[in-house]
Amino acid sequence: MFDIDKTISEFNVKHSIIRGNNMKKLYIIVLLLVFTGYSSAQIGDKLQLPQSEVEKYATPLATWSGTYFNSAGYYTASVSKIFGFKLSLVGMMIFIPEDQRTFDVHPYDGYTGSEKSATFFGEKGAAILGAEEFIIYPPGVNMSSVPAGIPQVAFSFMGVEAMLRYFPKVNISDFEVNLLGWGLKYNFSQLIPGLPLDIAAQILFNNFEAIHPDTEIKTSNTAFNVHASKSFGAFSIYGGLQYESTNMDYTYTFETLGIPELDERIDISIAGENNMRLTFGAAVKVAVLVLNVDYNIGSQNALVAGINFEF
Amino acid sequence: MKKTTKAILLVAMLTSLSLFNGCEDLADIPLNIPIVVEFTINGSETSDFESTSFCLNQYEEWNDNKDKIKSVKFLSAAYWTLDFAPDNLTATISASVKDKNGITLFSFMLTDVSPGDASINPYKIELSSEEIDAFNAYLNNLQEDPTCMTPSFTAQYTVSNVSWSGAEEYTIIGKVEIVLETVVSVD
Repeated sequence: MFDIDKTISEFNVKHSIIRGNNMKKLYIIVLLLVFTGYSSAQIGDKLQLPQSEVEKYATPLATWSGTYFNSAGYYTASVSKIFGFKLSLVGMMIFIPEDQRTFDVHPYDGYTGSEKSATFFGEKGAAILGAEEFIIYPPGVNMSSVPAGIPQVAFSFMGVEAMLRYFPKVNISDFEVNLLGWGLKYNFSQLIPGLPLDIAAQILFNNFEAIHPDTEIKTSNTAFNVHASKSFGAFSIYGGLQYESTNMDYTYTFETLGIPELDERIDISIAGENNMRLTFGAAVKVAVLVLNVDYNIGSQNALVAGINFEF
Repeated sequence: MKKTTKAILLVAMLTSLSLFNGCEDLADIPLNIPIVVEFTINGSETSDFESTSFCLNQYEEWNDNKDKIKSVKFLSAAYWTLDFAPDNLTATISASVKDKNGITLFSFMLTDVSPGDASINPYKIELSSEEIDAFNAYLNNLQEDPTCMTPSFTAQYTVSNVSWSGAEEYTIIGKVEIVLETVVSVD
């Protein structure tokens, strides 16, 4: 019974786990994303999860990222035929459904239990009896709604609108963070004279990066929508249907047995569950200011409000 | 990009976020912390024991969070045999965990088993509701000695009725793991 197997076994187990320090960084990332400014707690040093469980834990976070970055693409389908400019400050509240706050654990092959553990947005992590120790699942941030904000500018010319979201590289908590998003929109209704409403199609790309010497998180978000709007004087209503996708790549250095030579870069790619969303909203224009609010129904619902300066 | 421009953009983001000030805050985080006690008995006596005293602040994860822990309670406990020799060894295995006053918090006994039985399938230590209440009360009133000169806990691991053949001595390495559910402040 006494042989090197135990060491090899420990090595293999540790090879497939994610350590708490990386979880801490994951927490910091979302804190950066939602700009809440909270300091990170000392979230345990010995959290251990198989990669498949990390994916289940983090998928709602990827979905949240997609819901966030793919929101607020429009509040009207009308596009200036000459030249237009918009500066928007957008705030939103993203609602995390209950079934995305926990997941069914499956810590190892042959596990037959039925315990649940928190996802990133859930509360309590599970403690499952494993072959050599308790498998401790991480807790979540215990949030069922997450606020977020984003600024954007748009320029339009001849019925085509280009939108830009940009967050310069800044260093926060040892992370270098940046965002680049852009979109293009075309007003099709200008091709059909006499149409009682505006109809437009839009494509959006948003890429967010948070880079640390040990950890990187990159989210790529793509969306395509068709939307329509109708104005009644200063008021307008709008709605649209959007197809979207999100991919979150999480890269970290796995420290194995404290031996730097054995450190390994681990890449996890997680697809968000945001695919389709239905949006409906209303806007009111007061001089050069437009206030809008819309509700988005998708994998995670979102209430979006914007203050827009436009001419 | 100039610092002023960065600052303006940050302010713009925070301004847009401020629309929703007062909504749900990040709550305290429930964190499960494992406390592991290992034992090794090596010898030729048919009964033997090993006693270990410890403090929670000797565990890195507890120590890292101790100033932010708002509450703590017992969640689960289990026993594993990590190694044993020879293969034909059988024994009665028992262990107890006592507080600093010598009062038993919990104990268990596995009668006439092959230690390997608790290697393939760990033995889950079931505590009565009274034991859990007493353990939780002790945990929440615990004032630990930073240097652990006065240990908070004493664990004793005992093997008895040990039987084996083919070797002069036997060895058993066992582990009791206790999972504590804490609530950690994120402030």
